[in-house]
Amino acid sequence: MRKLALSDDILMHIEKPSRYIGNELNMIVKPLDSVDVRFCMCFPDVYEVGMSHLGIQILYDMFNKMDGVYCERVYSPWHDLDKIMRERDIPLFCIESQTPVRDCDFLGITLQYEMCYTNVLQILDLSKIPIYSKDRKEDDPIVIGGGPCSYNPEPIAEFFDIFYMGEGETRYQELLDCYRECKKSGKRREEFLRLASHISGMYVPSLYECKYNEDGTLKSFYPLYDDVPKRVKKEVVKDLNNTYYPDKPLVPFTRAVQDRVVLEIQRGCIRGCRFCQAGTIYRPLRERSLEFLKEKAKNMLDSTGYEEMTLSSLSSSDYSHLSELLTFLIDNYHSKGVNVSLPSLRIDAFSLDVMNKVQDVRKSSLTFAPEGGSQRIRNVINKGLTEEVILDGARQAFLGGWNKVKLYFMLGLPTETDEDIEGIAILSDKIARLYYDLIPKEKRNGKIQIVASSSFFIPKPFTPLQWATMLHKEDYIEKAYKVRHKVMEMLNQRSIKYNWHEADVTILEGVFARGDRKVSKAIVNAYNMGCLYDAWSDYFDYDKWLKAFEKAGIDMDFYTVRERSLDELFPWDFIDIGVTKEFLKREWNNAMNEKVTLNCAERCSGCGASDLVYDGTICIRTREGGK
Amino acid sequence: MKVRIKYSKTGYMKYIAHLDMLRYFQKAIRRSGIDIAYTDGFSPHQKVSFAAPLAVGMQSLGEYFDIEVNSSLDEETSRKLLDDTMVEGISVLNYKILPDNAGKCMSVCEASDYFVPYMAGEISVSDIQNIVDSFMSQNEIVVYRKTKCTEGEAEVKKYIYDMKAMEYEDYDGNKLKGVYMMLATGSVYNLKPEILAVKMGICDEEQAKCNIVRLETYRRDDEGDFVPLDVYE
Repeated sequence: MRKLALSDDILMHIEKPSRYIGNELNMIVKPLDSVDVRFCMCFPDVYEVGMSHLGIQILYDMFNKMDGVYCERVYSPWHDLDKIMRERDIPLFCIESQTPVRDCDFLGITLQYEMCYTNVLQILDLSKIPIYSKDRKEDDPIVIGGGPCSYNPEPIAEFFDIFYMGEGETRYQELLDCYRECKKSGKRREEFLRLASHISGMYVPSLYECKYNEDGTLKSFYPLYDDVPKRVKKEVVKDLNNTYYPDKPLVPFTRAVQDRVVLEIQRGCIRGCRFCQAGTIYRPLRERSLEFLKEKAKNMLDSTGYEEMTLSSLSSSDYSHLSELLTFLIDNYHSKGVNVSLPSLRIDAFSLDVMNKVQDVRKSSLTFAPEGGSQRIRNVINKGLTEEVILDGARQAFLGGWNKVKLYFMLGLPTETDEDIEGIAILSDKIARLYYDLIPKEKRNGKIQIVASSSFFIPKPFTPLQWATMLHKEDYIEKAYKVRHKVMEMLNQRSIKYNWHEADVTILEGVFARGDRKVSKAIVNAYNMGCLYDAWSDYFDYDKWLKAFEKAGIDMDFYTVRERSLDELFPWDFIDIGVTKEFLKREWNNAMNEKVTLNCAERCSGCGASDLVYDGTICIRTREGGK
Repeated sequence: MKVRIKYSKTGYMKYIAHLDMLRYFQKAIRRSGIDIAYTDGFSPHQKVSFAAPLAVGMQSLGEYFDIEVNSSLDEETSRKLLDDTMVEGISVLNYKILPDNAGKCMSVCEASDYFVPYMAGEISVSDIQNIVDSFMSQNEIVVYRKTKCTEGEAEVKKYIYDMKAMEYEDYDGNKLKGVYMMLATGSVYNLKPEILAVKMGICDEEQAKCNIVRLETYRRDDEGDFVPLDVYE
């Protein structure tokens, strides 16, 4: 039996020891002397969060199918173990072999949200790997980042040796082969990194330099050597039916956040909402075939025994074969005790029918994401959902017995007026009125329950709204108060519950989202001051962060409230995501003119992304047209 | 049809909590293809009930739970089907189709026996037997006991059904010396082995929590004798 890295006396005194002992169903075991490349995959958050991530399951499966490669996992130790590891000087270890992370050849860290950055430093620190790439020695692992936050890697660029830009399925074999060659021929770390930079999708931060203008904006960003590409191109899987996808996903003992079989039905999105980063960075839309998904559903249910299955994608209602897929899954598995949990679907006759089959109407709720309170602001953000569509969906649902509605909004959008803000309350009230007008008293299943939530808008790189300015904390809170106030004026205020997200986290996320290399100093300061698990509101300490920035001499306002000109050079402009900056500018102007852009199925807007997959022609979905 | 499953949980699987074991077996049953019965209602769940929960840190060679099935293959084939889906450290030892009048494992369970390793230094088996003999020769054995409803001193000698020195080979093949004890378990009276182990000085509380092995769980048959939970004539 393998030996654990932690002794009995530690495991008996920490919360959920099963986070650290491995041996989960479908865990891959390989003798360490049978492989020549060890890759440790990390999700920098607690086990239950990290184990819920589909991307790691896909890459874990992919790496372990490669000859001579062993992929293991590591997650952030929870506070209790973190403390013990520091006190007793225990190095962070891989779950599978229980050996130190530092013994691996690669440490791959997925960056799913900005607020995990101190956890990235924790992982490096506990692994005894130097935090800065420049301080690493020959026997340190190559630290490689990936995931959505790497689309602006600059605030954390100095902590990573490589960023893999785009989808992981395409270039890892090449990268690992290159590594093997280098190892065999005795090449040094920096020689390997130089060669890695020649592989499509690989960004090696140490090979680039930035210069700044006097006002602090970026002046230039360029490679230090001629053989290093000026721009790094995002990688995409061209054919999603002919690629890696696990048949035997890992099944944790303890309950994970996402504790079910996940079927990823498509990548990309045709909608073009102007605030949405996922909507641009995953372009172009690519669907998986019905046959592929049916087979994977069966294999995964058989191999895991899960009693629940869910679909995953952006805007799932746009998937061409949605109705066939859902009908198949419900007909074949619902009767076998498998609960098919639905993604948020556009509310119409079809989705209501499906919901009726798999959910308890009395308990389930309808979800709408209008994002903006008025039609005007919805045109600015290109959110195609109209009041008419919402009310029509709600009408059908109320007649079907539903009486719980969730509404999602954003505040702090560019051009926003009080009217747009108050629209949140007015729309919520209209939905409540519709219910009371439509359903006679004796047929009502109690009061209607409307929960309206708002988050504060954060401009993200590679979106048409990347030029937008943010606000100060007090201004955000004032906006939320205005909504609350307006809700209280409404006729049906007792049926409406209004929640809003924290404003201080928003500011920080905003800084990281559009930050440059200078920001990294503040992250190191915050970590050294004890910031950790910032994505957890219980542990987030805004005051510490303010001090960390102050100590680094960085003005957060520069990244948040400053107005950016259309010709400003952004820190992330060297990344080529397929979507052109010209298109983003066009869309920014359309936003300012409140002009709606049709979705990709209706008309191609020439964003540029089709070239990544369709070689000079427009996307297949556009050719086939809307439904 | 009611079925009793016996399983073992050894090595590091002692760190898997009782509720997680429950979820683990629900999935395992689905993987095995056993024709388990589901409850009616909007979200049907498997008809499963577990016997005495095992504390985190304790290993066991004799854990039980009951399931209800619509149909069943023969006992050994079914046992193997389920055992083939296990992870290292958990084994399915028996699949026993129960007589109709068998009570639930939770309510019939009355005793368990344990191996408690001697951890207070080098010692011979005969010296351990001496410790046991002198401990059991007391007229009363009073321990401090804490349960959900009561807390305080309690006389527990009548709940110790057997005790003697024992040698035991663990999952890594190490030969351990220690004490065998058979104690009252279940809803009527539950005596924890770690309390006696500490009292006898064979290990401290911390050691007891992560080194004891439950060997078997028992019910009383019609004659009043203890038989393992999966033994029915």
